[in-house]
Amino acid sequence: MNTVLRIPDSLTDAILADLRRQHAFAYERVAFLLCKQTSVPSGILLLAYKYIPIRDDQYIEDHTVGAKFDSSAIRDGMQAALSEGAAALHVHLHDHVGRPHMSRTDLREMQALMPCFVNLCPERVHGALVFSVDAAVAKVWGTHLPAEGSPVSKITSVGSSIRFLGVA
Amino acid sequence: MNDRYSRQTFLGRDAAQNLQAARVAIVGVGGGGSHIAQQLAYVGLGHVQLYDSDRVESSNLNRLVGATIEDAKLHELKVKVAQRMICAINPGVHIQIFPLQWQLAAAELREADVIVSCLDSYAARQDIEAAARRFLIPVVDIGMDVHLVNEKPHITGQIILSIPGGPCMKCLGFLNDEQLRQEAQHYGAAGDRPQVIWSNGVLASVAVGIVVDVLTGWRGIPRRGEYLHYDGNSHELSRSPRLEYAPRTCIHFPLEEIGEPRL
Repeated sequence: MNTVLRIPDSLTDAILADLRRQHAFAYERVAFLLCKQTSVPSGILLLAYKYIPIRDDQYIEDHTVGAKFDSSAIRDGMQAALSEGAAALHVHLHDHVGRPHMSRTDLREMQALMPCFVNLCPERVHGALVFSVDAAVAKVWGTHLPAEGSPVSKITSVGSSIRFLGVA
Repeated sequence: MNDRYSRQTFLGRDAAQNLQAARVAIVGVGGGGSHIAQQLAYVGLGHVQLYDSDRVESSNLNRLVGATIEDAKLHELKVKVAQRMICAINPGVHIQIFPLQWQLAAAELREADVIVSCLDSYAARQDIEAAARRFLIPVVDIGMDVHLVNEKPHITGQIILSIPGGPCMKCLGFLNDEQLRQEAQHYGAAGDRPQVIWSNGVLASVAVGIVVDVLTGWRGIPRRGEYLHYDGNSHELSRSPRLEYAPRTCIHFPLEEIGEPRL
C-alpha cells in the first residue's frame, strides 16, 4: 500500500522550530502531528493539520535515550487522535542534513506504541515521522499493515514551492 | 546524470529527482493544456494525469498541439492525442488519462502534486480550486479570451498560481459572485470561444515555468501566489496589483478545513 504525507509549509516550519527548542534535560523534543486521512486509488493520503508538542513537564530524565516521556503524554496524543478522528504521527528531529533514518530505538519504541493508537482508532493509520534539517522519513502502522510498519512513500511540504522531504 | 537534462542543471541539485517524483494533473488538454503537456514532457516530469472528455474537431486544428487532420476525422479523444505526443517526446513519463470530467475521477486528482487548470468557465475554476485546496494541491490556472474594444479584437489572458494557505482566486478578485451569477445565466449561450495558438502558447509557457519553480524552487524566492495579466495585442505580461493587496492568508479556504468535507 502506498502512503503519501503532505504538510503545509507553514506547519513544517513551525514544527522544525519547535523541535529545535532546547529542553532542560531531554536531548530532543517529541510531538504528535495530527493528519486528516483520505483514500486515494494508490492507497492513503495524509494531510497534516495540527501539531501537539509534548509539554516540558511530561519528559522524564533518562540520559540513555534522546527523549523519554511519561504516560500522560501518550494519553494526550491518543486522546487527540480519538477526539479529532485523526491519524497521529509521533514526530522528532535528527538535527543533521540529508535523509534521516529511524534508529533501532525509534523502531522498537514505535512497534510498541503504535498498536495502542491502532487499537484506539483502527479506521486510521498512525505512525512515526522523523525530520532532519531538510528531509524526512515516516512509517505507518494500521489494521491491515505489517507489524513492522509500512514506509510512507512520499513526504512533501507544500508552500510557495513543494519541498520533497522524502521520496521512496 | 542523464544527458537529456544537462542544459537545465541550473534548476538545482535535486531538481531532476523532484521532477521525476512529481505528479502533475492537466485538467483540460485543449489549446492551452496541449502546450502544457508537451512542455512538461520535455522538462522531465515523471508522472502526468490528463483530464478531458472532449474529442478532436476540425475547429481545434488551429491550435491543438499534437493533433492531426486524421485525429479530427476520427474524432480522437484529446487525452489520447496528448498521451501520444508525450510518449513520443519522453516515453519514460507515467501517463494516466481520464477521458471524462475531473469530478468523476476526483480521488485520482488528489494524488497530484500540482494541478494545471485549463478550463473555460469561472465556475469550473472555482470548483477545481476548492477541490485542490482541500487536499493541499497548488493550482496554476491559465485562460484567454478575446473582447471587442472599440470594435477591434483585444486578446487578454491570465496566469494565476493558487497556493494552499495563500490568496485564492476569490481573494485575488479574479472570481467573484457577480461573474459566477452572470455566467450561470448565460450558460449554454456563450457561442464560439475565440482561441489562437500563440497566446495559448505564451500563457502555457509561463505556466510551465511556474510549475517547474513550484516543483524545484529553483528561483529561491518565496511567493504567496501569482497573478499575471496578458495583453495579447501589445504582447505584454504584467503582474496584477491585486496580489499585493490580497489578504496574507486565504479567508475562503482556511488550512484548518483541509481533508474530506465532514457530513
